Amino acid sequence: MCERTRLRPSHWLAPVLFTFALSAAAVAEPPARVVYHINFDDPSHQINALHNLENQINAADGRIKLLVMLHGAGLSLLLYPEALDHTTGMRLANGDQEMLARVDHLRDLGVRFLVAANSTRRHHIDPFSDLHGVDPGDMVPSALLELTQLQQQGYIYIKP
Amino acid sequence: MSSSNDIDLNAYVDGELTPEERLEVLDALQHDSELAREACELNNLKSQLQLAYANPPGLSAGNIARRGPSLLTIAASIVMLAVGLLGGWLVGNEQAPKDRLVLLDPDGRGQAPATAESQETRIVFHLTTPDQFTAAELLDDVEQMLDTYKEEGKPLRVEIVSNGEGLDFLRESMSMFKDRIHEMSQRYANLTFVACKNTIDRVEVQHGVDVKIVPDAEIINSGVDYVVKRQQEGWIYIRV
Repeated sequence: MCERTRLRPSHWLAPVLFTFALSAAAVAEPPARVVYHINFDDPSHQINALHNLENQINAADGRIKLLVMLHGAGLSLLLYPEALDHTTGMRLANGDQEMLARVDHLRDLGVRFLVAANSTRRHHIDPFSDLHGVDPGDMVPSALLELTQLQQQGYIYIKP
Repeated sequence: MSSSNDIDLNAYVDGELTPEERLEVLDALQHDSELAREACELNNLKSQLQLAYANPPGLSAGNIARRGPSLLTIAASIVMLAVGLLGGWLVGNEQAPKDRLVLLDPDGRGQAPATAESQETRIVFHLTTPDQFTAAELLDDVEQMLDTYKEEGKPLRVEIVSNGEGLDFLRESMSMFKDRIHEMSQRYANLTFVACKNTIDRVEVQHGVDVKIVPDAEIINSGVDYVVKRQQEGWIYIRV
């Protein structure tokens, strides 16, 4: 062995960069936080969005926090078909058994579905009896305000 | 969306097809407007994802050559570990990237230029649907936001960019919201409506009509390019 005492970049550069990167990553990279925006009522488009969510959970190995912001026509995702008649301005109610099973599955995996109070008022929807499985804690005043604030908190925005 | 076309379209959008397959898809796109719309949607999603992951934080661990460590190397590593941790902590805690500083709206429309210290919230809404319900709801919610921020004394700047099928919203002959757009433009100096010239040109060629945009709107070259730039400048993006 030779030159055991001289400290050359080849000795220390890699560990330093590695440590630097690791600690930067540890501080700057908590589990990804993503918000999906659904304001459309085409059921196949909605099912695609739910597929995307599931794929993303699988890809992230569960290390991800996912929110879905529902408003406007997007409320149709959770709307019971029998409630459609007494609402106003809603064209579709896609909350049939199949759709709601998908929603429940995603909820079990930790996905939260947020609902805009602006929209439920506008469309005369009772969020707790006309929509599937919505709690007071899922209600936000305005979808656009919520999407803005979530992005300011570091959430990545996806419009499927 | 449907059928076996999905696979082809995804590969097409990702540029993974052979030239022959590509020609086939292009041909199909020309004859099937629904398919063309799907391709466009996929492309949009891809751009969003690329943008979201454009600057991933941190590096992945590179290959570190294994050698017999000397005492000095170990000691140096411990020192460097401390330096690395401190540096990483500093980098990780840095509030916002420097490139978030933007200067915009050179002609002002009454708005002061943005500064680095500004706590101003900037949102670009990207309107790509001709759906009237969606547009009406957008205007209601934007109005409410503008009022809320004003009441709370928080600075806010909003742009509504219309392109593709969303352009009808700003067309003289098509828009159901002309009066409302005019009224809101007058009332809120921090609200700007923006129309995409690419779309205007395309509609003019395809339908042989002269496209007039409402006088309250600005016209920019490319709506998509514009919203991407806005995001790079740190604007919040919401597609409606």
